Amino acid sequence: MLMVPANPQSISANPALPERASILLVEDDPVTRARIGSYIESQADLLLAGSVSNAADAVQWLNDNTPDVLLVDLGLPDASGTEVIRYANRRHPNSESMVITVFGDEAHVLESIEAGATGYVLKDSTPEEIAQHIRQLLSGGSPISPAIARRLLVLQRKSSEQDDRLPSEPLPDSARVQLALTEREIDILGLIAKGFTAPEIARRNNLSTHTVATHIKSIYRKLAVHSRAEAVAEAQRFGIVARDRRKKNHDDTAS
Amino acid sequence: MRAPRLSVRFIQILIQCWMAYVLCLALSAQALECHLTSAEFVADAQGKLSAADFANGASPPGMLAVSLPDSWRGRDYKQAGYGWYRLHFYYDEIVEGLQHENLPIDTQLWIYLPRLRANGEFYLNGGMIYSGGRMTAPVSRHGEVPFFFPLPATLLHPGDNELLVRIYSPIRPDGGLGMIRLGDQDSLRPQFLQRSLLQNTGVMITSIVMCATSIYILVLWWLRRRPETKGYLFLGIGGFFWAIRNLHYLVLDLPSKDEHIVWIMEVFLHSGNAWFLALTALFFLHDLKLTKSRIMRYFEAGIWAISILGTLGVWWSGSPYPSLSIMFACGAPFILCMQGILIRNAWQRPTTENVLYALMYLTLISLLLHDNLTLAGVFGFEAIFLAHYGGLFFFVVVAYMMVRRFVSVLDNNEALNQTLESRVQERELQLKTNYVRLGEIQKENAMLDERNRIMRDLHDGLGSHLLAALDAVRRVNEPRNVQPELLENHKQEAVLEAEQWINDSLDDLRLAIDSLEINEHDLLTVLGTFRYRIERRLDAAGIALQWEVDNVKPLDWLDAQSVLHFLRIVQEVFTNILKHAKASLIRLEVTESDKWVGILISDNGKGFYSEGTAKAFDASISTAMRKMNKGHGLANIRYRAEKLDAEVSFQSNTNGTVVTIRLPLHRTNTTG
Repeated sequence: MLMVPANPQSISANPALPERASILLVEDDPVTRARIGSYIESQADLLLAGSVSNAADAVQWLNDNTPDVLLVDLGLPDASGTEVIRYANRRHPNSESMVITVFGDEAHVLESIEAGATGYVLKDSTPEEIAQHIRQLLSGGSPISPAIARRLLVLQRKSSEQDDRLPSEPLPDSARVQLALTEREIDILGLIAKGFTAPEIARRNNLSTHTVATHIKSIYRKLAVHSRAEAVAEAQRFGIVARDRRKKNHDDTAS
Repeated sequence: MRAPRLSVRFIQILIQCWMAYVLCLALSAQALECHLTSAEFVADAQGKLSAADFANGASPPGMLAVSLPDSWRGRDYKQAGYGWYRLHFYYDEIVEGLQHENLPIDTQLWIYLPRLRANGEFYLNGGMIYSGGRMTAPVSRHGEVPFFFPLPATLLHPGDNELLVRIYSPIRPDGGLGMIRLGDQDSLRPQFLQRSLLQNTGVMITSIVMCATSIYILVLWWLRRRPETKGYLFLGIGGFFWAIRNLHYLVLDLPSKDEHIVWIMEVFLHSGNAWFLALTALFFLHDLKLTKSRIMRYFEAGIWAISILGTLGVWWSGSPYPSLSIMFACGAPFILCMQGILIRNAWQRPTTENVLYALMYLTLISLLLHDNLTLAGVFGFEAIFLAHYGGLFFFVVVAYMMVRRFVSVLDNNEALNQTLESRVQERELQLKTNYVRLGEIQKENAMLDERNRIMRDLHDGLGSHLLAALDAVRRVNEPRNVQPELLENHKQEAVLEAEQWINDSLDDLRLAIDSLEINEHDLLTVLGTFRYRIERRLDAAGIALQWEVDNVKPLDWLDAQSVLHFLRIVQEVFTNILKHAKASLIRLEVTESDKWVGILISDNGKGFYSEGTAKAFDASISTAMRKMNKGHGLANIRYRAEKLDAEVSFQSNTNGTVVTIRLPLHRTNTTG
């Protein structure tokens, strides 16, 4: 399991956290909800602030409360989990969102990231793994698997191919994907895809582990930033980052 | 609509011009024409008489008064021979006539004679003034060429003038003399030209047209030589015979002096009609496909027999008669039969073609009948022969039919091409549909394969793990053959075992999901994903992982199933290290050669892959697992390596173990 923590010491339960982090769990399967919920409750640093089974209840809960971390299943009975994430991001921009999904496929994961999720965890993960993901999020990191990193790279390649086209050339609809990543970010994604951990990547590139984590989070954000600006229907697609942002992104490579 | 109007207008203009021309002729009718109708005739079979014998009013014996036109037919002459006509005209009457017509007295006088047969010489007052055709061998064939020549003024004298005409007819009964017209050129020339046009120039034109058509037909036949086009061969040859027959009206002197050759030519000239009729009949028979029945074959044979025997008869007898007459007498029933067949055919199947065939044959034989009657003098000695125009009509119709057929073949061809094109399009569509369907079937098959694979995997891996877990849990609930003091211990072991099995199930499940997720034939992402999965467990066990990978070539054969096999091998290796090696460090290195991608997994634990430990390792697998020959442990690794065409080797000693997995860069056969 690759963890990208803000600093390596925070992997284990962090006694430095002043209080227990509040968590909203949105999961329609009662067994899974009970399993994850009870594990979270058993953790000294985590607080299961809410546990609901559908999007409507989640929205209602979010209207009254602010969670530190939102844990959402994608396949809710009344709406997609991404809708809940989108809502939470609008209402509570400082909250972290994480997706629990049985679908590990590109479309679902990217859609979640685009909606504003900064992490995703597969449903077959153990509660311990889920708890660790939560801690990692809280400490400023973003979990990312080699497979997703690989997909983001493919996405980036497609979008740069698209940039090379002449303006007059019409773009096929499937190519309407643009992900304006910096070279460093692309480099980091490549290493993650090959299975390197954040500390290893930091060592190889003479960076701090924290910087690597920031880069990863930045990649997540780039997808999400775009989607927030778009209409809901448009946001169902993958991120289309405005071209003028590319220049700005190049400056980030300095870090 | 434009074209018909134009053509109507054109015809109108032509008619108007012609009427104007006729009117002009009528208005300028300052013309003198005297008809010499009475003559004295004497036969001279041996050619013993000369002009001198008629000098000064002398008359050879046997002279009889005749009126012109005069034909020898019906007179009792046995053989070829000469004949003399003597005519008189009075110059004073002519001068009177000239004056009456307001013509100058010294107007040049001309003679126009529509027909004499076969060659003739003209004497005016004892002096020869014109000769048409040789009278001695080789005898000319001047019979159908009209005469038009001037009378020399010097030989004319006032009062009675004597005109002597000597005639030679090689076929005696055909001999004769038409009415002699005497007058000024303007009045006679149009008549001469008209007759000449109808009887000579027109025939020449039709003959040329027929020859050209025949060549065309023969070429057509030659290019498509097959039994059903044989009719064209007969038609083409028939056309040439018709042209030869028409030489009667065209050729004055045969191009040879050898009498045998001349006679062969004569035979052809005389039998041309018969051959034409025979060959056209054969054409009809073949073209209408009437040669199948036996009676028709006899009919055809009869036509051949009459034509050949008749021709040979003419040749042997040295005279066209009576062979030609016999030939026509025998042929007439056939001709009538042929006409009957054509009419019946047109009646039964009244297509344009069949009706035209019947009509033109009727026209042809009518005209031939007309000409034979003309030759027999029924319509008078000066009547015009018309049959050659029948032949022309015949050939125009045939040529039209052939062009029509050709056009219809072209049309059919076009229609066929269009049909073919639409068929091809249809077929293309069908193929496309089939292709799409095939693709769907392939997709379905692939899905089925994939489903089967997942089922098998669930059954062999997940299913058996869960069964083992269930078995362990049952042992907790229903302990058998366990001593009471060991019961707690036994239960604890069983719970641990159940947990282990369930963990294994989850591992299996994850591997299966990962194998489906990973694409792009990227081995490193596969390994990265594996690390992502295993890292936490290594951390928990206090084992550090040294990850040394760099870019390797993509493995184009790396599909989901291969990924799963590969992941299972790697997982097996890691599980073994976790379980048995007591290592603190695992090093994974990826190397690459021309043919292989190598994955080296080494640990610093106690080596356990000796023969004995391998056995012990295998023995550690539960009995349920071992039942399957694809079970776990080394056998499992080997089985999966085999599926990947990969090589796995183990090097184990007390300082650790190195497992090397060598995956081929390319695989020819990826089934399995």
